[in-house]
Amino acid sequence: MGLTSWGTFGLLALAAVGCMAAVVAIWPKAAAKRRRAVAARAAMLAGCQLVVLLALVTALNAHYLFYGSWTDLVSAAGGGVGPPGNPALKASATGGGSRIVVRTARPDLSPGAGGKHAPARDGQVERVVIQGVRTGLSAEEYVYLPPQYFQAAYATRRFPVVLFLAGYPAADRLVWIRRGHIPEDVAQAQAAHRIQPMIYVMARPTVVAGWDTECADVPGGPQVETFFAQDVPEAVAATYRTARGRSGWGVAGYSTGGFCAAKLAMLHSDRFSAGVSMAGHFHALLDTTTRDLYGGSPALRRNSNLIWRVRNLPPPPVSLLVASADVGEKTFPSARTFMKAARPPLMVDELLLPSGGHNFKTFRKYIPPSIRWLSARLRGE
Amino acid sequence: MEPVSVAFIGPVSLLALGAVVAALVLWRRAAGPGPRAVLARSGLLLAAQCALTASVVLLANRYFVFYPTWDDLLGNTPEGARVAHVQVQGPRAAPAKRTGTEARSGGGRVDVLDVRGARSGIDAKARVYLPKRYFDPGAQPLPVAVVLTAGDGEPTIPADARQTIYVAVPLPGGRCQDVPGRTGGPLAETFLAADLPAALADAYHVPPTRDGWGVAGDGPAAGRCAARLAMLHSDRFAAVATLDARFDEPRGDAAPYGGSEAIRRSDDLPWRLRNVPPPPVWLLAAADRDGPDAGQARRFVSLVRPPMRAETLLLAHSGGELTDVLRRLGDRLLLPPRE
Repeated sequence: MGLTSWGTFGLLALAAVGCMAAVVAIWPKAAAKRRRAVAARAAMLAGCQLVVLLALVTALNAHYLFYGSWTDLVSAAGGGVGPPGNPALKASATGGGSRIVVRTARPDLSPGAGGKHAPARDGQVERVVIQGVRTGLSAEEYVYLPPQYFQAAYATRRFPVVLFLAGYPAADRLVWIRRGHIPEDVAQAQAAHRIQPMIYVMARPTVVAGWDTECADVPGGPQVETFFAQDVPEAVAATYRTARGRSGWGVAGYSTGGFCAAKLAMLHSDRFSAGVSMAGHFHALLDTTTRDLYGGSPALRRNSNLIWRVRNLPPPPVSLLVASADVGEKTFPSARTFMKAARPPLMVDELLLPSGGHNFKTFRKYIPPSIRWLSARLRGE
Repeated sequence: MEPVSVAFIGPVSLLALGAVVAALVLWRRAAGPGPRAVLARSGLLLAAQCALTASVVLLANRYFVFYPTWDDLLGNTPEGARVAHVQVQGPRAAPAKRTGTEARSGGGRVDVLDVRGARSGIDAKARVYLPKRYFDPGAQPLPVAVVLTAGDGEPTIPADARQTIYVAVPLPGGRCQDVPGRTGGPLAETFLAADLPAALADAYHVPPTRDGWGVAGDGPAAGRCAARLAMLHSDRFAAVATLDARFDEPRGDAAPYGGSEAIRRSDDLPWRLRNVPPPPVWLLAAADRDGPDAGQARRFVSLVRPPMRAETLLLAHSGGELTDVLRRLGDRLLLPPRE
């Protein structure tokens, strides 16, 4: 039974009700005056509370999809899945560069899905699977192509591309569509001529199940940075009419994806010219869900610490938008320190809310202005 | 009084404590038979559970800061935030400046380009050999071959090359890779893989994708460096040619590896060919037929698996080996991209 299924929640809810009924039923047996009876009462209350909380947490997880499966949960607790075996064994089958190996139109996820859907009017969402030839990694992603992509007047146009990276673990692969509402918001903003037509690649940083790799090239492990900096852009550019130069490529993300976006833009400024970090941290995290990412080397960890980088290395020629909130965003101090240290040619803009928690309601407030900001900076060909 | 404030969580927690204590104390009075007693038990139990759950939820919300304000949780305020500049906006410095130029025999031009590496902080001079055809009006961009040299000596660029732009550049400070986590770097790899191609793209009409880009290296260090660049930056370079390269991991300086054995190992090119997915590049490993590097080249090429491709080229000692190797690299870059 799935972690997020109704069955699991129903069972737990039933258990909670059962627990309470049982307590009411055996209540008189613990009504003695002895100390042991008092202890039994407290134990019954605590036991009931435990089951109630378990049911509640399961329901919240099913709603917010923190963990999508039992595997996600077990590996997040630090156990279970180890690093994958030698990825070389399954690589190299594609020949040539990285490719999109599965491409399916999903009109049901596209704007205007209710009525008659027409790509040349509404644009189109496609589900793709990208096979990274350099890294042996693969990922399921969703691409939103703007209406213009299908119009004759734009047949030779190469569109700018934005790579969107969700937080960790983002068990819902459709999180950018279901919670970020990117295709709808974009279709509206485009119809109002507030933004130029761009291609939106919606991805998750979780390319190895149950491992928060922080988009790092892990020594002896998955090369996630290379996957997003080299494999994904190559596969996308080989399939769609994308801009070829860096001035047409941007990267954006929230939470862990925000860190990834800022890091990819700064370390791969020859590929990306603009990045957006929404509610992202700027130092190099290490905890039980990340495990060891830097081969035990403090120097390598510093190398992924974006605050250390702007203080100690030449600032790269990219534009970054830092979206955060004064109240309620734990990463705000990290973002503020980073912004203070940034120097040209690294250009930093900020998008600050007076308050906003680490939740999708807040992220949704960041997304439309971030897209407008990217639209004003990226250039098609 | 926001949901994360002590003023709110405090009373709720006290209430929960009160409800639990009340249940424990009043337990005996609700232990009797009859529907009224059962109702009383249910009431006591539910009150305790609800109050406890509320305080746990509030504490968790305070810890993770999901919803810091009531408005965040319940409100529907539209986004009103504005983007503001943090730095003074200004034009960025040009990544390259031509400081010298001379005509080339047989047409064409040789430029001296001052490359300012914004990403690496490294500045270097590159010599750019432009064939006559580069100046044809309306011509397609010509392929680019970056030629790494170990010293200041000028490489022997094929004089008859008509279709390739050769760019000779010394290894910055004799290095090939970035030193991680040290103030200022040096960031030789960033210079070669990112700054130099960006500067060339800024100054000249060059291919927009990796298919028109190659890299070559002459000698043990520059040869290995060229192979390393192509293998690690195969999104930038599609082909590489080496002459008398030593492919094994160079021993000695541990700084480029941040003191990590795993990173040192992953920089060992033969180890990479055996243990990680091979990159989609073409490699020509050339060596003097009778020299000690012929074995190196053969061993390295024998490890190559698709999608990487490799060829060995054993040359008789003639003095013109580099020219030959560079010409072959140029020819390769002209082939239709990938068969």
